[in-house]
Amino acid sequence: MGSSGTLCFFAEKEIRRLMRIFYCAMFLICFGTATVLGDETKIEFFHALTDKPLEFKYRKDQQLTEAVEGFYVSGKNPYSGDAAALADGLKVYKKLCQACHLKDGKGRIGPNLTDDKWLRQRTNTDIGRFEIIYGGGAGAMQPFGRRIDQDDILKVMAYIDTFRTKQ
Amino acid sequence: MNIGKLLGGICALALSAGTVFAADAPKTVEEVANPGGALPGNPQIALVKVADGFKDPINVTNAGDGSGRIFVVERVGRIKIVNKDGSVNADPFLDLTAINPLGNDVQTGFVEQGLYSVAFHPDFKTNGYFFVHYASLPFNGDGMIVRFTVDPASPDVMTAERTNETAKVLMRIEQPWYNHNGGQIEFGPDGMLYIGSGDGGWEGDPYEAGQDLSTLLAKMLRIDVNVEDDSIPYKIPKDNPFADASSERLMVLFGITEEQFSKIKTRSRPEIWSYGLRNPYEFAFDQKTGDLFIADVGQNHWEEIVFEKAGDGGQNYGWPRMEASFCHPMTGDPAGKPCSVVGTLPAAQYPHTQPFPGAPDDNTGGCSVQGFGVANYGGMEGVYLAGDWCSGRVFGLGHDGTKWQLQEMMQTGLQFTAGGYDEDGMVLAVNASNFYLADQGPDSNPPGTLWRVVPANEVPQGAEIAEAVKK
Repeated sequence: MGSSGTLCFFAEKEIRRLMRIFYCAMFLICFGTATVLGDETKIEFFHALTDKPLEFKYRKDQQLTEAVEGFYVSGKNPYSGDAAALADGLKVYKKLCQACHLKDGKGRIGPNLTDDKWLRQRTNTDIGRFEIIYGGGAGAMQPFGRRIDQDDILKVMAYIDTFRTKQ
Repeated sequence: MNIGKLLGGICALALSAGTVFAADAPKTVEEVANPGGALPGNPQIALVKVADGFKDPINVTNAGDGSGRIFVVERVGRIKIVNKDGSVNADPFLDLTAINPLGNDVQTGFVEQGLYSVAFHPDFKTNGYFFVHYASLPFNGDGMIVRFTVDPASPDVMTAERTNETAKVLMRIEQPWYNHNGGQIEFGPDGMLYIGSGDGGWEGDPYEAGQDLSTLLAKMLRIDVNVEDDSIPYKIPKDNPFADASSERLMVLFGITEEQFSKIKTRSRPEIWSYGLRNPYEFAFDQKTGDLFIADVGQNHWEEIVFEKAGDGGQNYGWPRMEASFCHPMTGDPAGKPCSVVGTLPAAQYPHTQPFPGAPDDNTGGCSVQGFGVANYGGMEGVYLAGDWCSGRVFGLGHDGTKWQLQEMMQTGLQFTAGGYDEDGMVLAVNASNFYLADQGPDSNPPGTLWRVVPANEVPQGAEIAEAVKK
């Protein structure tokens, strides 16, 4: 009696535990899958200065291109090395970047873009470079997401990469 | 007498006397404050948004008339009014873009040009006088100091007609190049108008203006705008350091000392208050003590903040012999290189990314110092707050009773351009989003914002504060 009672007690506990797991799984399947999958597939972006989650609040009416959507997931710039994108990126660079980083990227008001020294280590990646261009960094590194579409940010990133590959 | 009270009194006296004695310009290079200092009490601040939507705001002040209005200067040539409730009037208070039938009266072709600042007469409430300093388009960028008179029936808007009718030009400062124009004008506690005048531009001070007393360039100027006869632009205050030195006189060769000879400077301009400045774009008086802080924008390697005790004019701040506490030009690592200090040293300095040619990167400073004002609240006593245009840092410069301390208060994502005070003596700051080279025009940049410096523990509920990090 004693032992069978104990066994029953354990069996009952185990069944309850399995049921709880089942209910949780069902809840996630019904309500949570999209979020979970979304979080798993989409890169989390952070503000370059504060490291808080980056808010995508600029130019909300822009068309998010396939390149941008792809970048959100892969974290890799699809325009890297693309000749047409580089030409467009150069135009953006001339208009918005070279005032501080100079024509050759060696910098004066803004930091040197031709070496591998980064004030924020994450800027050593496409994700980090996108974060600082879109959301801004400190002071004069203003949020360029206010001035250009995200697709153009990827293009100018591709152009900026050429400074380092030339080294 | 209560012995405790007596001791307390003696201590308070000693402390205040000590502070007064100690707060002076550094005498040695070692006394010049650098980043990394600690202000007494480690005050914490926040920037609370007051209003936004300004086009390249580059200065801010109040009228001192009890209205609570804040006046934000837009580089293009407009002044916008922010009301006490934070609302911004749609019609500008002053619009210099619309007074000249040939176009804007303000030259804005280079980012350092534009409408620099506005200062309200200490008796503005009764006489309606306010003064502006701007780069004139018709005069090829020369700096115009002009007085206007507000219409009592239209206190918030100067019409184009009223602006033209009441314009009285006090001074035109010739500008050989488009940069280093100074900008700030401000009435001192003595009722005189102080004018920050840059060295005229290019780089390296090609005119040697800093040390040339015959030019208004590279100086702090001081004039008396209170004239009985309006056909006279202004008067020279009798206690200006070169007021007498510039007078013509009969030559006397004998019976006077070398010191007396040295005070004869007949080519000096009597408007000069102090000299050897490079680009005093922003300065501020401590509203409690009358002391003057000048944010003197530096060249390639160092930014500096000058401290001048109230009334202590006639100082030579060294430019272009000195760049902050270093000899100019910098040719390499100054360590171990003998350098004789010329003039009065700044109270503080901070480096650019490259503190000297060939130096490893330094990321503790910025590139262009933009002064806000002196805070006497929130645990701060006589702390001059200044922001940097490149690094978005806010520095606090104060004296701890022994020496000057330059503390980084925060680093923001803001490109600071200037500051000022509201009527309650709270320090204000403005930021823009423009470019140094190839700026696309003062009307084309994303809008800038007006901020108030508030003690971190006194941020009003629901207020929006500037994103910032603190080391």
